[in-house]
Amino acid sequence: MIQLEEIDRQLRELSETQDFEIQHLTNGDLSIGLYFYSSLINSKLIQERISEPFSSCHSYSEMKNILDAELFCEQVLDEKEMIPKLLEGYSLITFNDTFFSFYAPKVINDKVDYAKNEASVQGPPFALTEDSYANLNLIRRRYASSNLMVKEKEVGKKPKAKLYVMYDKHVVKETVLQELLQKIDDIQDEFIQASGQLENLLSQKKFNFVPLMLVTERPDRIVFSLSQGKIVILVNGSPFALIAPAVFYDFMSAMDDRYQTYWIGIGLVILRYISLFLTICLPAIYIAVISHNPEIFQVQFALSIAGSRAPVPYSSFVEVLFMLFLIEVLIEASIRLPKYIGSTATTVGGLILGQAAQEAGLVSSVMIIITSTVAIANFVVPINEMSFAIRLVKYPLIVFATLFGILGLISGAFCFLVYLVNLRSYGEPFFRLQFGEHASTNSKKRISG
Amino acid sequence: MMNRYYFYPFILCMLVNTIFYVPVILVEYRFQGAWLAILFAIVFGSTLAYLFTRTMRQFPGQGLPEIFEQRLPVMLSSVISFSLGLLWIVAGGVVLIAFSYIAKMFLNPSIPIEQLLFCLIIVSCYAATRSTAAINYLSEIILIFILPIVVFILFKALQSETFEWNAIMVTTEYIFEIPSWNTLATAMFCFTGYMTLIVLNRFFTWRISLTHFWLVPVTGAITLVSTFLIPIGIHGTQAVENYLYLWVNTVDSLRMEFGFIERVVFYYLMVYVAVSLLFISMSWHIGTELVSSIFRGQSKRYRWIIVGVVGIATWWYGRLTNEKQLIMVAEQWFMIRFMMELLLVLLMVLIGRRKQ
Repeated sequence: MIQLEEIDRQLRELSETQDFEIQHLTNGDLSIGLYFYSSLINSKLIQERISEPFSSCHSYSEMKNILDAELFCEQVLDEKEMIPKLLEGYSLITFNDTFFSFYAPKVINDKVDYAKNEASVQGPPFALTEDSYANLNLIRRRYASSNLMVKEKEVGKKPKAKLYVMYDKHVVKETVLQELLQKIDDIQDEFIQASGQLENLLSQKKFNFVPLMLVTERPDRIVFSLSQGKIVILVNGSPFALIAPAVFYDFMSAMDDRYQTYWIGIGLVILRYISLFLTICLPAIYIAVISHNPEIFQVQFALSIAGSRAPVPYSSFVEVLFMLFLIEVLIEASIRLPKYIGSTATTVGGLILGQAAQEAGLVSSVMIIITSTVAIANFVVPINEMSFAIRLVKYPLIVFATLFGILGLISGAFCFLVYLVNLRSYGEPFFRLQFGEHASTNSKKRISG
Repeated sequence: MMNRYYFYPFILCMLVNTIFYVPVILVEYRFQGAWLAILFAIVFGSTLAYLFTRTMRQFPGQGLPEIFEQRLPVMLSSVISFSLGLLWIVAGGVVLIAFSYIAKMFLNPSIPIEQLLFCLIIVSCYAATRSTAAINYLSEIILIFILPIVVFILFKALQSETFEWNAIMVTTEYIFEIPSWNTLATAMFCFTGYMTLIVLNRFFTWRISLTHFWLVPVTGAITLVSTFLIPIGIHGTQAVENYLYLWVNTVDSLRMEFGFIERVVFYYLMVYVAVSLLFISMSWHIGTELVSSIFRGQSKRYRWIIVGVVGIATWWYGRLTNEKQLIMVAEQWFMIRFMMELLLVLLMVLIGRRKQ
């Protein structure tokens, strides 16, 4: 049985904040109490569903019948569930020592907007929203299958964050699902606001620098992943979903690849891998060739590079580090700046500074070309988090190339490959060639032997 | 399709033989039975490989230590594991030192040999301590990139103006000379890829199919014959024995007038940095897995200790030795490997029989 004193005490505590409303309605015969957070509640709904029927009521039993018949309205039987409900957007109705909760939320962050981070040419243009119900709606509307399961989870200390774990129960790998759910339960410390944050908390290794779960904002990618047997996690309040397990290729493929004809799709993927190679290796190649092995290229080419480096007093790695530092700062600055200033920053930094640095004899003109190639090629990686990770990879390679030339460059690249190949994302090998096999996570169709 | 992983160690051993002084030794005996040695090696090598694979596939997902565990006394299995492990560790070490000499001579003349050894050792130690599956995925990715370049270099060599078929015809007059055991053992190195199964079999959790086994003798024959004959064709029957870095010098005589990189030797060197690193990682991985299986606790620390000791020993030996000694070590190694392989295959066939 519900304890009235306890509820009284709780309500008094709640009323300390200004946006907690306490209303007493009377219609001559009866009076009821209404409690809610005015900032969370759609007052129009309350007016229509509660106060209007109430005004024509003549007895408490009649009022109780009305509320019983109302959708999303139920009697509160445990005082402990009262506060969480109030915080979720319920309002509390009380009369005659009975308590009802009525769901009337005001949601303003569920407006579907265009995808900003993963734009697409031919794919559906809209992205997830900040509201999980709207997201669930977007996903279930696309994935019209009763196999799609949704599990609600609460994680973290107070205030708890709400997660929704989604999977197709026919194709999901059961062991992976259990492992993931266990990991979610194990999370304790933090207050989770973003998908990337959750990913860090879920990751197996502490010092990880390649993301092992995919963060996306595109419903079509989510649905495609679900059909592959992957698990999708939505974080309430974040317009990004987490997908696990993920393999390296997932980060390198855009959804557009599937909407184009076969050869165009293949060509785009190859283009991306070439860009990946360039953005990782080009600065290191420059150093290795300039400082250690100028005899590799044709004589004319070697001479023209040497000519453009004539005014540069420093050895090549100083030049490379100087230019790369500038471009990293430029990228970092233009992400956080307001849009209008951002374009100014890029113009000043990119055009004027580059030109001036070359004329001042700080860097060679070939280096300017290399820096811009590295920066542009970096943005070709479709998933942002991978693009950020790739930005870091070139620096160890630069160290290797500075010390050991071409030998060091290839050794460094070898190390990077070894690192990738040794990674596992929830039991799946993260980086390996696949041919003749079905999608790696589609366990039911897996061929062995 | 997953069966493709079975072939990568074979290809790797075939590729690495130009670094491992196989062509140098074969060319040395070109008038004393190298031809027949190659022929015998193709027959014996693939037969041994076939027998060994047929036995190993009865134990899917098990390496040599696991197979021995219940069937042999602990002492005997430890001795076998240790000596096989040492054999592979030495193989990796020889290739590492041999390649750092090549790197010193052709890529980085200004860097002291100690530093080059250090670079290769650090990278190989890191790679060797990864998981067996990782080594397999790694070899696939690297070989996919490398094989087209290797085929291109071979094609380029055959196209070369200096390539003289007459020089090769001269050697065919000595085709029926009886080879020494040494030469045979050297030539058989090309087929030794199957030996990696002693550890890599842990990765093959399914029954290895032998339907495409014919690929092994065919590619082995192509590799052996071309690594033996192309240097003779390019340098001439007599002059060929003057070269220590036989294949590097052979490839260095090729030129691509319109290529982005003009001298073909740089493609070769770049490819062989990766091939050598891959071979060293794989052999040291096999070595450390076998040696650490002697100590029952399979902790990661053991592997790091073993790899560390191996790395320091290799570095030390690399500083002291020279090419001449290294070739002698390689020759001895081929001989020992030949005998150990025969014994091992015999043992495994017996174990396989008894299981049936």
